[in-house]
Amino acid sequence: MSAAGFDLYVPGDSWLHRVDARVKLAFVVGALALLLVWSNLALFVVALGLIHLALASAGVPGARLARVWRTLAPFLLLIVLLWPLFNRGGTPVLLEAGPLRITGRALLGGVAAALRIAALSFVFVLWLSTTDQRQIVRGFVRLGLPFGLGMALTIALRFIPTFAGVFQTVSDAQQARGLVLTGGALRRARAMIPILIAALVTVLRLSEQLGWTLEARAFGAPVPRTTLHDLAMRPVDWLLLVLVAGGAGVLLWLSLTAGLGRGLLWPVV
Amino acid sequence: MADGPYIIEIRDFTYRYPPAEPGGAPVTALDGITLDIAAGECLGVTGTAGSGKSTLCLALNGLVPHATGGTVRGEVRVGGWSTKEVPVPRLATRVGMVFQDPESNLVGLTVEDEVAFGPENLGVPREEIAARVAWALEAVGMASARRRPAAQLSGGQKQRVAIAAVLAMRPQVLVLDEPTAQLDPTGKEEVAAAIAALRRERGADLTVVLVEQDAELLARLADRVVVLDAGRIVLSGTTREIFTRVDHLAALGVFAPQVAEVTARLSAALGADLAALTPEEAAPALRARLRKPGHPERSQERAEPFVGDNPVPGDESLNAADRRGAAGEPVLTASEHDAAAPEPLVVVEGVHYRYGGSVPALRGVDLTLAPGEFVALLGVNGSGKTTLAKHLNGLLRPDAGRVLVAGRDTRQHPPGELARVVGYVFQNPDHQIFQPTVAAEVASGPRNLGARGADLAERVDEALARFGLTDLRDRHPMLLGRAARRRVALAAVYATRPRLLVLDEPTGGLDRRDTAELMATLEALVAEGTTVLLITHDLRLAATHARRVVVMWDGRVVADGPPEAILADAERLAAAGLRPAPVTRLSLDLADAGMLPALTVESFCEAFLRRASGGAACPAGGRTGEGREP
Repeated sequence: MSAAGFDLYVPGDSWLHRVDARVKLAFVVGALALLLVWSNLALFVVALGLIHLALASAGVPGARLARVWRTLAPFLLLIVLLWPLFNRGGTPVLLEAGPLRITGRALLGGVAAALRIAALSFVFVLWLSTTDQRQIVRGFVRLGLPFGLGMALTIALRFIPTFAGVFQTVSDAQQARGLVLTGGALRRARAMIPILIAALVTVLRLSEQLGWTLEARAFGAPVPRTTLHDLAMRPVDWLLLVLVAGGAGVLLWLSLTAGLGRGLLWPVV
Repeated sequence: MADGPYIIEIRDFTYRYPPAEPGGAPVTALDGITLDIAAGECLGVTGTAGSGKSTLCLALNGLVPHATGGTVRGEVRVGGWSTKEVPVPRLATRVGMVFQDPESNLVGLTVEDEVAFGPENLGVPREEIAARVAWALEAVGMASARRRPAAQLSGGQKQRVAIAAVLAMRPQVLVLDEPTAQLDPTGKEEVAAAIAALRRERGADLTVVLVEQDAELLARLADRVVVLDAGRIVLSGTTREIFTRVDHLAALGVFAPQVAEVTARLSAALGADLAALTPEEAAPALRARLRKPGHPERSQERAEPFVGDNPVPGDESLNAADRRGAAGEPVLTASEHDAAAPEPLVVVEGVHYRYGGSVPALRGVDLTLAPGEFVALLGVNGSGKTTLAKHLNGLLRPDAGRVLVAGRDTRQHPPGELARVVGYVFQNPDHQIFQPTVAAEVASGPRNLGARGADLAERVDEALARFGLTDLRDRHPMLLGRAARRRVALAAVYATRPRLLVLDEPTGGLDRRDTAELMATLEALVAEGTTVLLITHDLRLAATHARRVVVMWDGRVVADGPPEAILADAERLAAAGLRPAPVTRLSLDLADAGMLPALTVESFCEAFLRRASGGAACPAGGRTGEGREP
């Protein structure tokens, strides 16, 4: 069972891969804040463009990005189509038929809303495809998350594909004994119960052993822990942190006080 | 070797697990164990399932009783520390432990971080950790993989990383609980080589406790062996002393090395001491016997064409098989089988399959299974065995080509429907057990397929009786031992009355007695007309039971024919990552003295005695029960 479906990480050693996990976390927080404050079409397009440039420079394959777009496509389309139905204000009126009234502004508003969702998604793609799960957890631990919790998170992430594999195998085993997984939703849900039970038991057995493994590796020994690799902020990381935090701070301040990016069609209108 | 100083001293150690069910009685797992283990020795521990092997391992690093609960009497001391008093994380600096399941040995980091994890927890300084990681990975031959995620490694690689991870804590004792039980031959060899190399490097600084059912591995690595039975030590001695007592071991249900069985029987028949544990060790004395004056070497033309019960094709047919094998062709093609066989039960035609549309797992497989065939499907991990098997009941559908099951195309029928024809027993019994009682578990398959009332009850009773589960019918299956859980899983599939029974590695972790029982049941089913497809790594099993062997490599069938033609063909097996069984290797080694290839202990002995002494029968070569190889 491949972990690919659950882990966006693209192994590599690009500049983005090397940036300290905490700096990337700061970028994610700043970018999320801006994207949520803004409602401007042009800025969303620029943001998406920059993120794609960064991803390309980090060697994330285009096919991977295309897959993210394909996954997002139905949601984005739905937003573009439904937005005008609920936002009936603005001009020009493109279509008016009874209660249905579609304006150009609402249509553009729908496109902007969809692009915002896409940009938000790609912020996470940028983060998760260039930072492996251990770095993320390490970053959180260095920011104050207790190590035990960080370890639990690491194990949980690592076991998602394992559990998915167990679930698939159990499902196969049940079908091999004549269990039919088709039919109505209720029937399918009922059929899932034996699968869940067997999968859970397998997972519990595995967890018990894993607990033993942790103990046998001196996890929880009453001595101060050391680390082979720690996160270390290089000068370039500090520089990036200043740029990211400063840039996001200034843009946010401009947005909130001077209305930067708050209008849909700024700077056109 | 066994005369001190002792790193491990076990004194009258008794341990009882807490009861598995509320109100039940505590389970005695170890009963008055007294054992000393000298620094630097490799102690092998073997015994049947449930004999207490794993519990003994857990007792050595204090997980028994610290993590398991239960009650303890007596004492285990490791380097003077009592496991009752010293907490597990501290004991971990003296005793490193590797479990059977590669999946549960790894915490989920990169190889390097995985190995660093223990020393990090112990607060070892960074430079020292770096040095230890480098050394430990080098010691198990995994240095080149240090930046890879451990989850992506093969089973054998994972186990080697797990060994490195405990080595990095600089333990004095390495406890390995059936480290190769879930590995294919390649993985087994990797781990065995790593252990041997470590012992050479560390000498008296590293004591190894190796729990194994695999007698061949113990014969190769252990200095001394103890045999456990029902929580007690029933045999203890040097590896040679233990493994040459083949009758005693058989009575205990414990495997002996194949060559030890051969040489014990030959010694008895010839009144000589030919005892040996490995083919290399046995060959010179046996060769001398075959060449003894008075028994001139016979020419190939006069060699008996039959070895034991199995008709062995003469050299010409072997050569013919070789010629075809060299061209990469199966020994017998599907059409050749068709010519002789009745209406086929399963037809696989030109099947290609890719997982997730990318990784090719099958690259053009043809296979025909007739009613009543007993077929062994061999191949290393990743060769496509399980992928092919899952095509037989429609769990997977071919990207190209087709699979016909009793005339039905699997692309047009869901697995739930094909289950009427094909029963599939998965490797891990826990994956298919979910009912609160054994009887309900066995009933669920036939019920899915529409059986009700008296018909259902009759099927359940029959299946329970056949698999020796009648007394356990109201027990919770999850609380049974592994061998019993496997029987439940098998009975549950059997109760659907399939015409083809596919078993994926059904003997992993089973001891000799359970394996023999399982194989006897399969033989009986075949005799009744069921087709059995046995997926296995165990060439001994294939040699003894299968009438046809199919070998896969890299998504293709690379050999398909009678066991005699394939299992003694070292070259062809090597090309598929496999190796002939020890007894076969020995026979091939003696070919220069006129020995014909032999697949089983019985056939070897018979052929040998016929050649060496003109026809004396091989003693204790019964064809049923204990005497027979499982």
